[in-house]
Amino acid sequence: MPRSVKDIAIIILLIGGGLLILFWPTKSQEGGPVARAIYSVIGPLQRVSTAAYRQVTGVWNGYVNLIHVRQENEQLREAVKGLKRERGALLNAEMENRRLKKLLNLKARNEFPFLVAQVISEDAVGWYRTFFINRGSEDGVLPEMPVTVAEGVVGRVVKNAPDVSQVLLITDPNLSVDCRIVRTRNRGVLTGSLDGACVLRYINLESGVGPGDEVVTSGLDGMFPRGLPVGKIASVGKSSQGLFLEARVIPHVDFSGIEEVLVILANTAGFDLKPGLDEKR
Amino acid sequence: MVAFLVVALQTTWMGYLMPAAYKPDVFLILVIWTSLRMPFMIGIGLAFAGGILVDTFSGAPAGLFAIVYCLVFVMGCYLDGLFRIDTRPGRAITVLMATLVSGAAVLLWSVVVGSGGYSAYVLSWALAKSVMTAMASLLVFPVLDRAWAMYTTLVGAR
Repeated sequence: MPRSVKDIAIIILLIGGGLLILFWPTKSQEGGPVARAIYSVIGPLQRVSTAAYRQVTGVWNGYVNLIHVRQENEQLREAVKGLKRERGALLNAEMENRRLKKLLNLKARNEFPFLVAQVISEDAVGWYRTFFINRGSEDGVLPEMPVTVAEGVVGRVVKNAPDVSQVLLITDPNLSVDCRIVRTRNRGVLTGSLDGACVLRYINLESGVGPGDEVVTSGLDGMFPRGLPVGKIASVGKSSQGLFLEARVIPHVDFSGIEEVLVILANTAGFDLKPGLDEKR
Repeated sequence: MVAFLVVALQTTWMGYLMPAAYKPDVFLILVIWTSLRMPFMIGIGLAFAGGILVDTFSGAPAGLFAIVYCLVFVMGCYLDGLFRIDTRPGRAITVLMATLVSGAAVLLWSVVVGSGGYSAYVLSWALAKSVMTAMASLLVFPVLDRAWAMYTTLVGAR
């Protein structure tokens, strides 16, 4: 228990220091020298720990899988046949789609360069929704870059160091994404919710959105490319002020099972806001 | 060194064992442990440095957990001075309260910056996480005590 004036002075000094750091206006989101030093010490520990875990689960899963492997093999053969047929049809559709887009002088929005990154660790305390990937500024990853997987949007890079970056997930309340509802074309701002889902706010009262509607990125925030799948509306209600609708959105991505992600290597505000940017690329 | 290992454990293995949102805050247990076992000056310094470390490895703004852990450390010292909390239930209850304080600070900050709000779900989540951390403290405290005893035996100082 602090008894002396010196102890109380230390407490005031440290808490004051913490408040100073907390309220210090920072423009750059790149990690400073202290953060870089910390990442360089803990990064290798995290990599070794993650690799060890995957090795252990890999061996265990391999053993469990062998038990049902024959039956699963037959099912997979059938599935492959079906998928081959489906792939043929999809290739045709894709070719047709490209031709039509060319005709309309539109560019496919998924033409941005991307980088595959591995998830190496997660948030230290669990009060926030973040994880770390094994790519950093040395690989061209910068703060604000969008992060996705095949199922949809994951989040965006918030901090980086030479070989590691922190990704803020769309389920975190600190991230907002401008989105569009596919069926009605109405826009809204998607933010994370602490219950693991997301909330789409500021939807027009007359929009007629309902459960099951698909939500995609609008591209108008200059952060995410247009048309990336985000999730599906689970329920809709009026906002507390009654001026807009609010929808609860279940993301398509299962955040607990992500091992690899794609970082879209486009710089900030570079998607739909600047005319002629596509041509420059 | 222990702090670095705890953060590495907290960001990797701990998340594989249980959902990230409910995993216990082992670093907070370490802070309470230092408040009971370490001299004031060393303990509060470790709490501050540990808070900065946790800020770096979480979505928290830099400085938030540095303040929270300092407050938790002082709270641990104060409660020990008043009630002699260095018993298994006493430590568990202190850890439970400290986790609630830490959750309240996170929530307060999110309300201040306008990125979140409280709801029944958030309160029940914070309570569940606090219970998990308190239960984990029952395991972690003896491990830290054993490690500290081994260290002091080897180094020959206390």
